[in-house]
Amino acid sequence: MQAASQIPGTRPPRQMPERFEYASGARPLAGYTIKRGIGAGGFGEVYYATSDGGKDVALKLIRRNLDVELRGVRQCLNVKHPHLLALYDVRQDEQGNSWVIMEYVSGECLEDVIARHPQGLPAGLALEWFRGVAAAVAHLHEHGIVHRDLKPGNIFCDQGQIKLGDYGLSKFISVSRRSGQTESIGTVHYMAPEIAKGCYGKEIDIYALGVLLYELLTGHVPFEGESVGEVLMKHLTAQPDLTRLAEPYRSTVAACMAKDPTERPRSVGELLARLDGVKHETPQTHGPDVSKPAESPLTNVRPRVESGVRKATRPIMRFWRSLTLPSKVVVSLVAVYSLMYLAAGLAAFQSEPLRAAPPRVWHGLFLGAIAVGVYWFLRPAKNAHAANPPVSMPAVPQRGMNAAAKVANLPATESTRQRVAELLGSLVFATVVAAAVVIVAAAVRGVHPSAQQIAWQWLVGAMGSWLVLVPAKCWEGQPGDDSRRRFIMLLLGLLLGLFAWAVAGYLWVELPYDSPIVTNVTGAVGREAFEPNGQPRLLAYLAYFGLLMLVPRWWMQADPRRPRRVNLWSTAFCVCYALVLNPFCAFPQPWAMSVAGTMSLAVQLASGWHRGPLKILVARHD
Amino acid sequence: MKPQVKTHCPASIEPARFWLWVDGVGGFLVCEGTECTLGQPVGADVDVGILADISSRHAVIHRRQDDYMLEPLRPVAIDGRKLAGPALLADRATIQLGESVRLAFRRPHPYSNSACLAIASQHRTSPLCDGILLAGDSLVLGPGPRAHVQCPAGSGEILLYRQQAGWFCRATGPLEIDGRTTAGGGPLGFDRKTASPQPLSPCGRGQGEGSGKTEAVLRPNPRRTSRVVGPDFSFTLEEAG
Repeated sequence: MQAASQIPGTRPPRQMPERFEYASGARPLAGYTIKRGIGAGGFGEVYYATSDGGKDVALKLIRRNLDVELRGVRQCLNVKHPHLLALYDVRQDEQGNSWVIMEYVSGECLEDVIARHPQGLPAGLALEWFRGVAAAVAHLHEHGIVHRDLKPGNIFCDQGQIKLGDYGLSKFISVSRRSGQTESIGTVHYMAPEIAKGCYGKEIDIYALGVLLYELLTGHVPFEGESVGEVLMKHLTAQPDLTRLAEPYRSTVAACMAKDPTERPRSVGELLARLDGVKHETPQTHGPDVSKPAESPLTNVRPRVESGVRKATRPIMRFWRSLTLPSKVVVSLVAVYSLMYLAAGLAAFQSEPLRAAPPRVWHGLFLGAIAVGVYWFLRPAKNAHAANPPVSMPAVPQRGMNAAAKVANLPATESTRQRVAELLGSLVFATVVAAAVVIVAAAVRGVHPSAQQIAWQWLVGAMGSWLVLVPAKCWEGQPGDDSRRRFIMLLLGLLLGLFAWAVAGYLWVELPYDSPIVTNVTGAVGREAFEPNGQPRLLAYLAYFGLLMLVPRWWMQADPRRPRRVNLWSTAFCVCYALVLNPFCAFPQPWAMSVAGTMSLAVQLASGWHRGPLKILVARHD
Repeated sequence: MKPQVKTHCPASIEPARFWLWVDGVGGFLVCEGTECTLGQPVGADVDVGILADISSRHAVIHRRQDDYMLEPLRPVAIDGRKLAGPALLADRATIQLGESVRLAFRRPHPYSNSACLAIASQHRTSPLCDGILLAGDSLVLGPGPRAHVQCPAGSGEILLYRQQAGWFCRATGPLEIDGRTTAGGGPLGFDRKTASPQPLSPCGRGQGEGSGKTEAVLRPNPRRTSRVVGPDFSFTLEEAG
């Protein structure tokens, strides 16, 4: 009987649900309405039902070995213990079927808990489970009842209470193993050797408790095998490997799993006494890491380093998350601005006499201090931001540059190989598109640019689209944090600036102020970022392209779920944005605008595009 | 800060909820509406009643197309951060209601705008359920981490989706919907716009025309249901009372 509470992400139950005779809403027993089937086995079926008064119960329909089962149930009907799953009644329906009405547990089964801890449970948790089960078994033994089927599948945790179920039932072992009623191989893993001789004393429960303790601490049973026969043979003859257990667990399991029943602890109390005094902190294995022998020490170090880094960046990330979008832009601008000044100042240290440098360094440090001050000033106000519903409403992150380019979580259906192939294809295609766009733009314009200028635009536009396509492909299908993505885009923008600068240097390209709209305007990034003739230096490249990539959400133009493959409004927005940046950094135009437009078109044309969500899903089913 | 109290559920519209009873897997409360109120199950005004020390209307989850927003009416935290106003819910967010109730919010399927809520603390809903599904346009039942309802491996993916007011089911193999065999899916008889309530047959499957009326008379409050049986799965949709 398994009442699996299904939380998405957890492992599904291993047992296949069989056809259940009764569907939701059926009332085979007066007073109870069946809601759903829980499980089915050789014994019959178990259903979850509610009484007319609203009590949750499990109804077990007994189909096989009726007399044996019922005798066992009647014996246990009035046994009470907090760790025993309560049996309420045995009833017959109109057709003469027998039903056992039991307590319904909605919590997790120990089998699932162990599956989540393949290396064994932490000692404290393992002991908590074990003591609960042992107390229940001790109570049964005191009342002359042998459980006979102790296994993790029969042990549950409901609202923090450990519950042992299926006692007084499942007498199939005693009937005959040969009659084909052994439910599953899982049961034989806990089977004491004397069962082969037909002995069913309470020692078999002690043996099973030993196996259970071993499994709790190590994550697997002591004897595994391909077949029922192999496992049974091991129980009869083999010695369990207990080297992975520390004292007192090792001697306790060894005693419980003694082949001779008389050598085992005589009662559950005696067994528990061996574990007394064990504090929960005690490692269950001797030596530092015996339970994970295959793992290198590095695996232990990495999480620590990771957690350290995470801890260090946590306040900054928290601060960042608490900001609204406009504040994020302002803070980013201040940070970039101050970093650039600092960089310029440091560069000046090397290139110019020392006396000229300090003012710039101070300038940079001053702005850095302002950035830190803004951080401290805004930090306590984070709740105030959150309290402002219009800003934190869900629609906001979705609007922005183009309302149509709605981000949606994207399929992780493709394999990595497929994704890489798709990405490589779009990179090549983007390069071709960039060339086409640049050539068409050059032909359309009245003033014909030089070959170097065309080459510069093409190379920078293509590289820019690459730098959008690659992260967009990585982020595809993952719900992501816009701010983190923007930060990565900023770094990629700096890389693009470096690339553009290097290409310009290599090609000896002149980028004059050709645009009728923008002439040489001195931007916020000072004169030192430009040559006397107005040509941008590296700093101007970095500043301009960093900002170009920072603000528009470029990756959304590569989102396969965008409503249209090419949205010219997005392109127009990018071009306008490239122009709007000029007062901040007077990069020569129309060259940067042309790069932005090229990038936008190349990204949209070259990246994959699917249609709406439901159609794909239904199509996959067809 | 004053808690914002909105009347979100006009009296004329019945609360859009139903039960999804999946045999061998669990029982799930499906909230169809765009708003889902969480609170103590004392009044009729709450969609998901949680037996805990929380307010009768503690928080509301709003769905707007692809986004979920949590509106706190009483102290609520997301991932440990206390909320002062509505906030977006991201996949794998942990919602804390009051002192002790913790809910795990999941958006497992990238194509579906539906979400799952599971109680991560030691509390239970009333009536008891194994999970809460905030239904958008589609729900996926199947193996794998992307399903809203995780079923054992072996059964294929089953898609429940809604068009207009009705729910449809789609699967790879043959299906039996309300006693009728279909090739790959079809509409579910469970339709809240149906004028007369469909009575339950003794086994809950099929809506017998003849015997149905006497059944309806015998039991004063029959709930509309729809039963789907596949080769290796079966589930029932039941109108929530």
